[in-house]
Amino acid sequence: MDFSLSPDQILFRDSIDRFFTETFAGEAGRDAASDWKSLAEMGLTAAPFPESLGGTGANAIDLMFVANGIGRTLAKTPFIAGVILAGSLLRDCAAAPAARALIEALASGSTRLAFAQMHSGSVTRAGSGVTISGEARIVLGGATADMFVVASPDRDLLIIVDGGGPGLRRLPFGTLDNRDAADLVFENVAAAAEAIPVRGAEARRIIESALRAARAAWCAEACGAMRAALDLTLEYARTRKQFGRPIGSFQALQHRFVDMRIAVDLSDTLTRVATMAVDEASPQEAERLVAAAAVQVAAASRLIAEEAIQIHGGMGMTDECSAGKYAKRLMALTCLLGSEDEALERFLQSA
Amino acid sequence: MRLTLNQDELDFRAMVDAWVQRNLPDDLREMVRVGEHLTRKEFSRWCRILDANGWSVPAWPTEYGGTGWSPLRRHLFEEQLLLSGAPRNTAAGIAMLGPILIAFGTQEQKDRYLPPIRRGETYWAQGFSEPGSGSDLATLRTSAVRDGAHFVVNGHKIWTSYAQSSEMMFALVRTNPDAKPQSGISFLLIDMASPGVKVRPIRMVDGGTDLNEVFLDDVRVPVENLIGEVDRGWDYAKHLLGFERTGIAGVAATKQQFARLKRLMEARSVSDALRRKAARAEIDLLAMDALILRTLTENPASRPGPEASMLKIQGTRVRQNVQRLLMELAGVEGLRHAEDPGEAVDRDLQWLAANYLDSRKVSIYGGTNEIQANVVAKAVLGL
Ligand SMILES: Cc1cc2nc3c(=O)[nH]c(=O)nc-3n(C[C@H](O)[C@H](O)[C@H](O)COP(=O)(O)OP(=O)(O)OC[C@H]3O[C@@H](n4cnc5c(N)ncnc54)[C@H](O)[C@@H]3O)c2cc1C
Repeated sequence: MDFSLSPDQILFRDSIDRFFTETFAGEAGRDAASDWKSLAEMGLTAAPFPESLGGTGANAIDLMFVANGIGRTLAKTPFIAGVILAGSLLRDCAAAPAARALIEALASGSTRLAFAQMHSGSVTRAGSGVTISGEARIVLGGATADMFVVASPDRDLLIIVDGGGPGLRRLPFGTLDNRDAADLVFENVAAAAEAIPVRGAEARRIIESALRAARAAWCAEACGAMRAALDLTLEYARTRKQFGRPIGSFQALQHRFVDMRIAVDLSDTLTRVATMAVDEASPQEAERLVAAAAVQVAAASRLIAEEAIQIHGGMGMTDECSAGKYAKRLMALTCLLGSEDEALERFLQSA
Repeated sequence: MRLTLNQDELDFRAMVDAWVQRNLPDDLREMVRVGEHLTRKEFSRWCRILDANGWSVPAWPTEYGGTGWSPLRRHLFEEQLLLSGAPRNTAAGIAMLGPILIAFGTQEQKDRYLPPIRRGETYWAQGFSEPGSGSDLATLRTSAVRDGAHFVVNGHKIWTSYAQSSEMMFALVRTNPDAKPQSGISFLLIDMASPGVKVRPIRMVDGGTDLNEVFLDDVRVPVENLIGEVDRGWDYAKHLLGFERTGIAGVAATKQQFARLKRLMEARSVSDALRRKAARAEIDLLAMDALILRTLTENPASRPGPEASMLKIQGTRVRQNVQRLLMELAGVEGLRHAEDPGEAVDRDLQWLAANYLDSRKVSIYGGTNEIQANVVAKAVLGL
């Protein structure tokens, strides 16, 4: 393994860090549309696509830096679900004209995408196309997306569905960390054959691979959030005084900080391993390593979230305090990644 | 030693359960079941229902409406209320001010303040913590200066639970700036409607609204609102800290939450891993429960000591672990914001993430677990 970054990667990482600090730090005045515009201007909505498709050809490590930035600044953009996940799906079936057209729209920033995995219902044949009925729960970015890439319940069809089309009902909700999402209800939503870029085993393979890329990115987002939460808690411990001394001078807290630091470093390192695997390893090996990173990240996320609040004392229980904001982001990411046990189960399955 | 409760105790619990089933309003029961935020309104309502049966202040002396039960019986009672699905009844007036008034108040103060607390009519806030004085409470700076028949109070309290809906606040204030920190503090009762009292609510991480800041600006407090002697307030407050040596562990609430976990696990398919972790938590809870019963029965007459801090540390750990497992049970559905969960939300899961976040407070308030550990290390272990 080689963890050294090329000069180009360092340049990219630094520019991404700057971009997130300048654009996303502080929540004031941002909404989904302005977030998306900024990301498109930075070329990030085109990131996962090769140049031949009008993209910038970013690899998984590049996307990891983006995800780190999202976590670090608590940006609300559903970039990982909308671009990394949905974008990877489209990229992997770009031979289909419908997918190719949507890639252009996504890359240019004119269209916002979301991925919807159906949890119940069915997709039935209707002429050369299909009719969709059923439900997709917890669609990230689902309240503001223009188009949906829908996976049928058994994942043997990928279907592109217009967010404003007849029969599709969105039930929006806010996430724990105040991001937009929706449940979708499909009532006889018609899709033409052209709106189905891929079917069968190939569809399943593509969906699994995109979900892996997304999981690796969610791990990276968590790492960005954990690092920031640790930094801000350290800063608090250096400045908050009780008993005439900074609370960071109490050994009981110092040792806990050391454990937190170890947990963050391990998570970040294993996330890099998993991210490299997304680009380089076999699907099975990538699945195994992404699961391993998710286990590490889930455990560390809980530790950091809980300790950040505890060490802030009463302050940590307030909505204004960043410790709680990071804690909620980390909890939300753990919901997405699956608990430590669920990730462990995936690790066992893929070994 | 005897393994089980005796028949009398079992009958008592059954009687309490039957009473709750008859008297707990459905809407309150539902709020508790799903873990919704309760406010003063709900707490006071439940307190009034308990009071109608003579049960709102079981720990107080009978002349002030207490039940005269033994500590063990009180423990069984409080636990059964929660297990039967009722809200807790631990308002600061009942659990904190009451015992202090009873021990140190004048007859006039007792007659004036205790009955409306018992009836759930007045609500009290605890004004101890300040921005600069949390764990190191003795450095508190809110000052009270005698001016004729009044103290003039100036300062800034924070984390004052339910201050926004309380009629009164009991506060620690500095009356002697020259004495040693602990020796110059007095215990005052402050009417929240007094001119110069300003309350700023603080929104909590889980969306709850318990917390507040209280600004005191030349607030005139009649001298008859002083508890005991001037400059002795720290001693009175300390009396409180050891008062409920077992309640501080919160085992009743943990049992209630564990029952909720079991109910939810039965109703849906959950992983073996979660089942095993729940079993592990159950063992922690069994041990904790036994330790509490041991504390209550082995040596019933002993005064509460610094050992209570161990009960708090471990009790809050077990509680937080159960809340964590509930959050895990929610799985990806835990992603929904409890206050904006969408139409499709499963109401049984709606509040689990918020409840988990809220549970983080139990290792912070009432003296953080780190401070409790310092107490144990020093006073119990002699380190
Ligand atoms: C939900 C909630 C309700 C509350 N309600 C009330 C109320 O009604 N009335 C009231 O007066 N107060 C209330 N409090 C305040 C509570 O008592 C304080 O938050 C608590 O005492 C800690 O003080 P602090 O917040 O200033 O934290 P700090 O004292 O600043 O502590 C910060 C961190 O440093 C650690 N620390 C401090 N000193 C040491 C040490 N010597 N060794 C090791 N670690 C140390 C602490 O454990 C903590 O983790 C409430 C708090 C909460 C969270």
